[in-house]
Amino acid sequence: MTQTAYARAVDVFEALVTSPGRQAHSSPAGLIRAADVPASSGYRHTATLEAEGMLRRDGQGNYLTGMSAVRVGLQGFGVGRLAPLVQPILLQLRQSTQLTSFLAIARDMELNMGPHSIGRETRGTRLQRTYGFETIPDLAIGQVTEVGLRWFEGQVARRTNVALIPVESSASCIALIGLVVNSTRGATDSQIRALDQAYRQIAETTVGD
Amino acid sequence: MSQDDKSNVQRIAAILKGFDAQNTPRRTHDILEELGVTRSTGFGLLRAMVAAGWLERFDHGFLRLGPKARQMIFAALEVPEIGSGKKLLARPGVTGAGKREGAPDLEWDPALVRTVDASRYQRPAPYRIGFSNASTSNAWRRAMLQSLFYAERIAQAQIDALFVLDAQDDPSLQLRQIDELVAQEIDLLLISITSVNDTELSDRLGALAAEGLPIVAVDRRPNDRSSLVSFVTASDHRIGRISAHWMAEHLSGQGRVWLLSGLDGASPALRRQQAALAVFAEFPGIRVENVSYTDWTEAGGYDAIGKVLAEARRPPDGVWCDSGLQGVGSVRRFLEGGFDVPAHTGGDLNEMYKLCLHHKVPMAALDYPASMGARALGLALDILGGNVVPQRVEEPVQIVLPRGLETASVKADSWAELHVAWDLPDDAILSQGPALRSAKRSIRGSATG
Repeated sequence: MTQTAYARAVDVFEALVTSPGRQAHSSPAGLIRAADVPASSGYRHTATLEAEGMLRRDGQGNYLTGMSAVRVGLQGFGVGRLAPLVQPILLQLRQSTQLTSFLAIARDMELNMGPHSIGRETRGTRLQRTYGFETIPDLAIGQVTEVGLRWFEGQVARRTNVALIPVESSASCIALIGLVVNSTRGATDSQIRALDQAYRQIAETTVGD
Repeated sequence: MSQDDKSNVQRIAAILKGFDAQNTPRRTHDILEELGVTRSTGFGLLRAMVAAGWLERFDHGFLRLGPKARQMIFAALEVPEIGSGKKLLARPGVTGAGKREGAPDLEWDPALVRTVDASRYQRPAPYRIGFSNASTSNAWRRAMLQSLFYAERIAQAQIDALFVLDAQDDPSLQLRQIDELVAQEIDLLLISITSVNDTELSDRLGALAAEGLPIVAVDRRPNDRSSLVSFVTASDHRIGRISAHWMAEHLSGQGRVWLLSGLDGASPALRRQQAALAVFAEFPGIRVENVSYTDWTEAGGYDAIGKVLAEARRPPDGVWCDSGLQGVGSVRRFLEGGFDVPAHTGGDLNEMYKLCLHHKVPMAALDYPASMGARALGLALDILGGNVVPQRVEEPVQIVLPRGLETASVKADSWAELHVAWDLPDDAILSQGPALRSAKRSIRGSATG
């Protein structure tokens, strides 16, 4: 086997696991087309990645990034401990606020957006993979902070307002739970309470045996 | 692409999953040994992964997860609305954070974030898994089983055998069947318990857990949960509470309500009923006139309504059903009796949506997700893989309402007009996930059992 063949396998892996983030696909054929993977092998690869938890399907059959992929991503930042907590906490947070809830990782002046649950009040705000902080944020574990995030659409700078609560830090990054908030009103008291509740749930989590 | 390439995709996934929570660098030699491939294949793959940024070199002979792997955190937990032509999310009648400010806080369930370190159950695949199923007596239970079989087909490479036994709602039969499954040398037992209070069953599960057999309950668990590694369910409390809240608000806090519960003694039925009664108790003008059990069947719902109609001689203002499984029987009984059909709750069954929409019956539905069958098998594989897993896993429950029937505090996640599947059979369970479309083509069984 040549080096090219290994690189091709890596390309196929990347194309398939990143496809769900771009568009909804309710069939393997749609996913394979979007990933630009040959149909002859695409079905088997898709099934393999679903079996490995790198892809999953929702109630309507749409492909989503699998929870194993999310776990690997968090492990890459050194905060893999949060992986089993992410889904229930973000869903509860979204349900209690109707805002888009998310987990993100701050490194230097960059915010890497992580798993998220779209709330009906803020579903018009499309999330980006990465943002820059508009100003140096004052982040303290367990303290809610409202900040403006900057991102670029072509040459145009855009702003998204979020409320963040840092939940854990490692040597090089900080994990935060957040809500996309209304840009004019900012976060309400109940939304800040909900974030605080999410933080306390994570802080009090213990691993049993 | 060659057969080797196909398995390389799987190997890439295995390599990425082999790092710990802190991304501790691993020796190349250890990664290759775990992968079980030749050195040339292993090094070829690792080099390609490093070149593409999935892995990064830490020190001589050590690797850790790289920037591409970190990018995988960007993941929607639900399908983004844009591009999803199949399903539109409901638009609220009133928007804005100000409106939510006065709404009561939703409960936070601390059980959802408790986790279990399953490393002591770790063993190499393929696995032998047994499922002791409470019954297949209604459409929901059959759909849940189809969902489990769907997941089994997806994960076939990791499963040596899946044994499924139907206890037919009989605790003593289930007790014998558990022993039959254990005799098959299973690595993990999935169970949907026939009776929450049966001490013999609880004791047997306790003994098996003490011997080291991991046990996962799905849908129904024993009262004593100490034998379980995890429990896969949906929030029965949420189903009971929100459906009752909708009913009370839809009736403007005034009226007579009849309750149709599922199976007497089944834990989901108990929890939904308790939650609903607690909500109705908050509305002094709502009178709960009776509670009937229906075995979650259409006939049960039909007969129960027939009986209480004969006693009361006039229909109620609302019928709270914990599922559409019996709800369809109730609606049919009112229709056949020539009555105006009162407001109903209860989803699950396609026919319930068809009936209510066709006859313009006010309804609120929270489908109890049959997709938990697939989720349970996935969790079983996670446990046998030695991962940290949640003690309780809840499949999300959507609120489904016909247009125009949202109330002050109950808003739709999805409109019933879009949720119903007119092209699918009446007994289709819409919440079984991708298995629904497989079942549409043909009813399939276990791929390995």
